[in-house]
Amino acid sequence: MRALRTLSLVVIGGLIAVGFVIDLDDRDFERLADPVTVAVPVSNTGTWFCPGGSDASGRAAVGLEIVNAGDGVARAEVSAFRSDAEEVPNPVSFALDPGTRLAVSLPDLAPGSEWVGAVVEVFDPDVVVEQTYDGTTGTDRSPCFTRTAERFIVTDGATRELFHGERMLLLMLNPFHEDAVVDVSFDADVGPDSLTAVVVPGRRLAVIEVTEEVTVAARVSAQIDVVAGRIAASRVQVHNSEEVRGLTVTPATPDGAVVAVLPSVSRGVGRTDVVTVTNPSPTETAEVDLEILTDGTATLDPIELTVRPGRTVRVDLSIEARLSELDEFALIVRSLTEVPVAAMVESTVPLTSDDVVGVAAAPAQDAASLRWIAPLDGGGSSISVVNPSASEIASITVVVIDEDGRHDITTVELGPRRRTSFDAADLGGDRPIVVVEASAPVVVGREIVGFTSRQISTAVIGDVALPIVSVE
Amino acid sequence: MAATDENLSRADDVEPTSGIETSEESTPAARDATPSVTAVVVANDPGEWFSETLESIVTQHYPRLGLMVIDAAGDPGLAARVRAVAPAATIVDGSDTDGFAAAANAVLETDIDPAFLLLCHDDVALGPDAVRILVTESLRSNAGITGPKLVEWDEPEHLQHVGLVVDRFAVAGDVVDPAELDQEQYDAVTDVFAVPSACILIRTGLFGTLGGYDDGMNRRGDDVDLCWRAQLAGARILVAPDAVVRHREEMVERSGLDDVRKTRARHQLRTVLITGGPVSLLFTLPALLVLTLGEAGIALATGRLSHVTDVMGAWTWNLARVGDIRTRRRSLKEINKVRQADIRAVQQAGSVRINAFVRGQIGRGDNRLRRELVSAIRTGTTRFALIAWAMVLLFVFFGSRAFVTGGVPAVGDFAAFPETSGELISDWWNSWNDRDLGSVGVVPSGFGLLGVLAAVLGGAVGFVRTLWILGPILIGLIGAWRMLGVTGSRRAQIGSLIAYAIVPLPWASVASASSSGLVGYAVAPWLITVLLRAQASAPYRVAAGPVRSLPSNIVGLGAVLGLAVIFEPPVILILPVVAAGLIVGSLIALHPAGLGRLLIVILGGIGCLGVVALPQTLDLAISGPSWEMVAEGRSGVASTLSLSSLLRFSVGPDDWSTLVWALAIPVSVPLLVGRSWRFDLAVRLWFVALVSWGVVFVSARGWLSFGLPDPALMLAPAAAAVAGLAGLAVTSVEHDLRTSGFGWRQALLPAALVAAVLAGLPTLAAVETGRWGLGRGDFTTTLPFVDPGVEGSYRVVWLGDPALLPASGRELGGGLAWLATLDGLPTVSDRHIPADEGSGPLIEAVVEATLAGDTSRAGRLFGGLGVRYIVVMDRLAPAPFSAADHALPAPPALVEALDGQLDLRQLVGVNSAVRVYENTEWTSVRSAAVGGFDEGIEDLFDLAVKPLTGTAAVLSGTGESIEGSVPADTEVLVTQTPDADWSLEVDGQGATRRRALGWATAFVPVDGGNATLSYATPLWRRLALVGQLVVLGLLASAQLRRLVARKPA
Repeated sequence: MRALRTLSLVVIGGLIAVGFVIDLDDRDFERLADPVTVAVPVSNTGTWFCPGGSDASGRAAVGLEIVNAGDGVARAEVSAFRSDAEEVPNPVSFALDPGTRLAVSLPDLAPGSEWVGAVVEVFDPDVVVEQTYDGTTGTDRSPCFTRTAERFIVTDGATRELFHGERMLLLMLNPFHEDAVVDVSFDADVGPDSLTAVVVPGRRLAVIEVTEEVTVAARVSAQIDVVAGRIAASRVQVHNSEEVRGLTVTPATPDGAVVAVLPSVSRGVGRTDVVTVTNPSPTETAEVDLEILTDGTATLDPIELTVRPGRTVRVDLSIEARLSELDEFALIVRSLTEVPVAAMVESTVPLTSDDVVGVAAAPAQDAASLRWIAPLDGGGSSISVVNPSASEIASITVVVIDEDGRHDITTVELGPRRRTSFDAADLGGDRPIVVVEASAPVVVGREIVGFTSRQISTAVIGDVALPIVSVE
Repeated sequence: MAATDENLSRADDVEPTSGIETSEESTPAARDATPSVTAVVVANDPGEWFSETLESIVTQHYPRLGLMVIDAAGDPGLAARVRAVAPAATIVDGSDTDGFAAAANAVLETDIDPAFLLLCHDDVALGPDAVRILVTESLRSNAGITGPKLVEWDEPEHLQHVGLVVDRFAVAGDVVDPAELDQEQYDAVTDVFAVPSACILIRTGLFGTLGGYDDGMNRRGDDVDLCWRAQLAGARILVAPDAVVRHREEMVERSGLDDVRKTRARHQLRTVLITGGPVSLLFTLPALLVLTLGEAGIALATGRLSHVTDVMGAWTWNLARVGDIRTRRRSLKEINKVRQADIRAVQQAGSVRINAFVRGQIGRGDNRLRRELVSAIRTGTTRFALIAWAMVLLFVFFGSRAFVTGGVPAVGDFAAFPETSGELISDWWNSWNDRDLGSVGVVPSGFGLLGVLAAVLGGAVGFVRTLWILGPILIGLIGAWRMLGVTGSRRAQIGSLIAYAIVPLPWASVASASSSGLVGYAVAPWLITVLLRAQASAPYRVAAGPVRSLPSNIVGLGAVLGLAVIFEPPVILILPVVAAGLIVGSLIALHPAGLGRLLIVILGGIGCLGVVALPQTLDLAISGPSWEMVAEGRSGVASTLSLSSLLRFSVGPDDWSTLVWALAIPVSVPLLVGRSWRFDLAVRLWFVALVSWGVVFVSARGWLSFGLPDPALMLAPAAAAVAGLAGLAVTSVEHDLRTSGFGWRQALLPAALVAAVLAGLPTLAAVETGRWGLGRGDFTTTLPFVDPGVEGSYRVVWLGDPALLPASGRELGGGLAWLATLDGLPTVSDRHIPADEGSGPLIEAVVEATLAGDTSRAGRLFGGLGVRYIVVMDRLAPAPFSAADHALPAPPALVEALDGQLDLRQLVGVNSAVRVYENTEWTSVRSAAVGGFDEGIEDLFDLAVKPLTGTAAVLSGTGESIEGSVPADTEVLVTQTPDADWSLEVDGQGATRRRALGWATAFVPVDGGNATLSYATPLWRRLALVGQLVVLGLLASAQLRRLVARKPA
């Protein structure tokens, strides 16, 4: 009996003790994975949010260009949103043959509205929707958003209208039925300012004339916090002085990122590229490195920045001595303190230059992918490909899509942390629809240079988006 | 009356007060001063005791006592027997009479005229001074009838009768309890309503005035009738307890005729009819009829047809004697001196019959069982048990007082009941289930039965709902009480009862609105008991073998599980837990005997369960088994429930105090000191607990690839085992500790007692809110759902943690679950997952597509399913009735996905406990659409490109028959699972049916008009329900029979 009692006590006590020991280990809680929220547009989401621009008589007359990079007929449904209180127009459907582009004049879909935005729903994963702008000071293009967000950061702008012809506007599209309410805070060289409880009516477009809120600022960054609802936002910046003239309509950066890539920066002659980094955190300082990626011809130390909470740091690459030997390169914007930051590059070619003049701007890209779609426009255009991986070699295949189908142009290997570029002239045609396929996640940007203006922009992810921080 | 023997005198020849020997102490002077008494003994073929009866009379210390023996049986040898003891006694032939009353009345036909008559049965033995005391008290108190204290013949220390209380229905009850010990507690002279006819002293004049006993009553009830009429005549009735009379009271045994129930029922009704005033009869007779019907109903349910015949036959018997009754009423009226109200005042309030039933006396033999019952009550442990039960019940009801007074909020599993009992019954009777996208499947029959109960209670749906929630707790406590009943230790039962009451499990289940946890709590102790009986190891066996036969055990297991499953299907999962625990425990205890029986009973019990839950069994057979039905939307993902929490049964929103750990001491006692079967049983119960804890622990760690139901349910066997171990601790102390030598074991008793008190403190503290921590309010008034009658019927999709959903959800992955309801909040009919999922996966597909970011038009997709609202649950109850720190927030991915939909509009400001999205592109569940509306739509996801437009809501409402009007030149789109048993008639003309949208149904009527959309439940399904009711009825009947037949413990 005693032995049996001992055995029972040992077994029972032992099992409970083992349970407690096991329970010391952490558990693996398999919850729904947080959504991958990247700023770079992803084509297979199917819904494109275009903050739009002005009507045909405005400073940035907006149009849409729908590009079908797929191999079948694609359908698209365009819902135009107005900035006034008129009734929302009915959606308009379009069909696109494979390898073709379709231009849609948004003001025509919402006549009489000073500002026009749109939501475009497409039912093909290889369709890209871009906004095109045409103003008196220049032209621009950028892909629409494929997500809405509750916070946007605009890292740079200027409002010295009187002497430099600089005007800055924020366009905010609320594609949902409920009104959105936003708070906007500005950090400018002339001091901080803010707007609170700005209502963006449901299924409407709202515009903030930053020039009227923060006057005569050479540098102004903005942070849009959506108190209720979700929006898509972009910045319109007009330069119209005797030195610089240009129009940039740049997607605002949602949320920021710990690691992002600027694929197309340059220190070319007569060109000034300025990188601005904004730390939206209200409390934490960001230690940021700008890592320089080249085609392998040079290895340079990063540019180190300290960005205080809520502030913006500007880096004029044209005066960085260490870059003097470089022409084109890429930058990785890395927040060492893991405080998400937003970054943008603005490239200015003054009127005095012999090159194509104008201003172009693009936000840093926070995602990599195995497949990118990059519609080009103009013989001077190029695409830049960056392999952000520290170890993996990416095999890059450049494909051109046209009405006749797919044409493989070239295949190259891109080493870890290397950058390369492909000129449109080498890809055939003035307006090729380029698809970049890679064996490892890469980042693709594009620089579009026409006869009279220049643009830099992200390409569009045509596959799964991977945050860069996850692929290094 | 005829002479039967030449030695017998005719009554009218009898000389008064002659023929009796006086006692030696009698003196002539005393004889002159005392009133004369004639003892009238009605002899009906008495046994050998009769001499003692006669001797007790002839030896009375009373000077003027005569003796008359009335031979009611015409016994030729009686005279000799009488003469042998009382040579001077008068013997009267009463053989032509029927029964005691008529025979006793023979004295009225004689010419004797004593002051008093002492009317006696032939089986009494008077104490030496009985007559004197009776006469003295009768004179002193001016009583018309005086009765003695009747005691048992063989056990004179046991009281038999000290007068009778009588209610308005002429039902008599004893003042004393059965077999109550005579401790002189009733020895004061007392007014009573009646005295038993075994021995009464009555004034001769009064007896004559009353016309004697009612000779229409041959046996039983005559005493009540006589006394009632005496009271109406203004006579006082007393008991003089100093006069003691022993009484055999063996009429049934002597006559061999058990007509107690029949004669009592007849004569009680006769007495009421004769003595009742016209006004009082207006109330009394209907009430008596109701009582009779109730008694007959219970008898019918228990299969006692003779009982039914007896109680109902009383009415026909009396109807056949209306003339006689009328005559006696007239006679009584002439002597009536007392108002009926004054009679009522001295009658027993209420119903003696109901009291007797409650005490378990109806339908049983008389004295033996009553004596056992009373003996049991008289013991100290039984009193302690009663006190323990009273305290536990007080604790439960006080802790639940808010529910009792204000109802239970409809949150979590505690879904609301339909507004009427009829709807609840209808939901069960008709086999169409509206939840999700609709499917064919039964609502668990338990809810149908609750609907019937509510109907029987006059539509008390709210009360029945409260009963549904609190009832399992009481059933569980009874189960815990009975678990160790077989040990014969009342203290062990008390230990189990109290331990089961103080474990936090039921209260945590209430706080988290876990119905399955409560039903598990109710079932677990019963299940353990049944399986222990099946295994038939000590103490669950008698010397001859198992306490119960194998078939009996099988039926018992099937019944226990079946009754649980008809309320909560997931309860089935605790069977393998308990079985595994018992098997492993038996092996560890090296006592595997009976495992074969156990396995046979389990297999047989499952088969029996299949019969008890017949409709659900058929559903499963048709649709195939589905783990979702028991997992309630839970997946195998890890939870935050720690081992420490589950060992303390802390599974509710609040963490229970670590004081609960103190329970570990009492439950360890049987392991440490138990011997013999107490140790064996302790080991088995410990392993039941360990398996239960282990299963929940493994699930909480996320090691299972499938989900288990609510942890509260899976922990119920552990709680029951803990209760059993606590009871075993008591019995171990009783049996084993006192045989141990002095040492550390002696410290266990005080330590266990102190630990039990400490462990109970957190539970005692939980009574403070009166609702065990459950929120006061629910979502009924919080959620802004539009009346479906205004804009058409719609669906609501509920998303969130399975513990928060207002009904059992289907698993969505990542710890999420979903369900869909029609026209707002779910009712209890939507509570369970039907075996047939119908087209429900379409909703799941839309949610998954939304989560995957594959669409920003979830509204259009949901719209095609009739979904108007999507509710994401973050908390069990709305703020402020639920604390923010009790929230189980929806994953950001879900919120992000829904927020990003272009056609979902979040309704802001609803409540912080939920996110409500309204679909801006919803289509009513039933809508009129122009023909061809679905051209080109072959798949639900086509709606993202081509949404439904131009529809108008029609035929709003729920149920199996929906009426409304339908416009001309339209089709009626019904977005629910297609089923051929649905049909549409417009102005009496059937509409053709076709498949629409690839998955829904469109009816094409010939023209517009008044329409009826109806569902025809297949006949076989209703037959299955009826079959189930029959099985349940048989089980209930068998159980009632056993209860009624069982001796008191």
